[in-house]
Amino acid sequence: MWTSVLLALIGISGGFVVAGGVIALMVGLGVITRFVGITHTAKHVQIFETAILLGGVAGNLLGVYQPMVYAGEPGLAVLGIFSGIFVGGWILALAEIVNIFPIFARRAGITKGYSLIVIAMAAGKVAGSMWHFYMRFGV
Amino acid sequence: MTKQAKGETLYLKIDRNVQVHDEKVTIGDIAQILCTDKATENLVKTIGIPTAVNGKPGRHAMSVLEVMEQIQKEVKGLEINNIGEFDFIITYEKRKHPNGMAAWMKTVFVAFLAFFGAAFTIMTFNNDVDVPKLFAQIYFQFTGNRSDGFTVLEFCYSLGIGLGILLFFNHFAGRKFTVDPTPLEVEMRTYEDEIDTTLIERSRRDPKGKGTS
Repeated sequence: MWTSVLLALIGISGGFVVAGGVIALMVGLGVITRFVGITHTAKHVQIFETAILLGGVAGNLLGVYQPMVYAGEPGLAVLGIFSGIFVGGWILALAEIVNIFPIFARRAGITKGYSLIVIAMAAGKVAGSMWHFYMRFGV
Repeated sequence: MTKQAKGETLYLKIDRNVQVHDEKVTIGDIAQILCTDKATENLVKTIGIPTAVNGKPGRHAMSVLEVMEQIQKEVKGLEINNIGEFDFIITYEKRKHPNGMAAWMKTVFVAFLAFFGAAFTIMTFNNDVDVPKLFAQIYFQFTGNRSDGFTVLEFCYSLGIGLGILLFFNHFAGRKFTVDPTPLEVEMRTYEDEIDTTLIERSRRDPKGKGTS
């Protein structure tokens, strides 16, 4: 009995702290805010907060209880494309924090064709990720 | 040589970062000037600042007081009002336009760097957080079959990463009617401002060093 109470307490506390950490990271990196800015949808920001909440709960249930969902290949495609877009933004947000692009551009004296570098980067990510899965690295 | 200009007022405005392409820097090169007397205004514009760049290309921090000192040497009794920065950076670049071909070569080089660096880091990231295992598990939960490691899920995720990067940098903004700078341009600007601030602060701490980079 007391063990269960203790475990429940630990679970709730852990959940609180982890949720705080996840939101802090999301807000700190500004991935969502950037996408909101690009789409000019700032007035619906509460909907996005709800979406983050629901997504966090759904992902957690999916991972912890591992239920069968039977959403099939279309479901996988939707999950893949949206999580991919998010990770793409996430990666660049991390890169921005350490100022990689301005430092590089200044040190190398880049004056022309910034957009080429962004395209090369996006192409590199796609190619690297495809290669990684196709070769079944890490399986 | 010195001109008497009693009762005249001169407004001096210098931006935080000014670019010059000649070793001989005059006040007209770096400042916007407005004077109650046109002749004085034109004279002040031609006054040289010998200490500005010392013949070295790069960034040089300078105080507006040095500019005022030069003006006072040439024009006596003038009232000078500074309405711009107190400290500023003079960037001295020899050539105005770098060679177009060489500039593109550098861009291509960094583009290659970005391509292979991006490919490498996404592989390390996917390995690090064990994306293949997670995706295999999700595949099973969604379809009831075992994943063979490269399904529609992995394919769409990979495509999505590329899309996310292009979206994140608002890459297609240039084709719309907006004149907003892209986030990368904003970031470049912020970084340049931080460099200017650092140079100015450094020159204040060590006045003899002149804050040259």
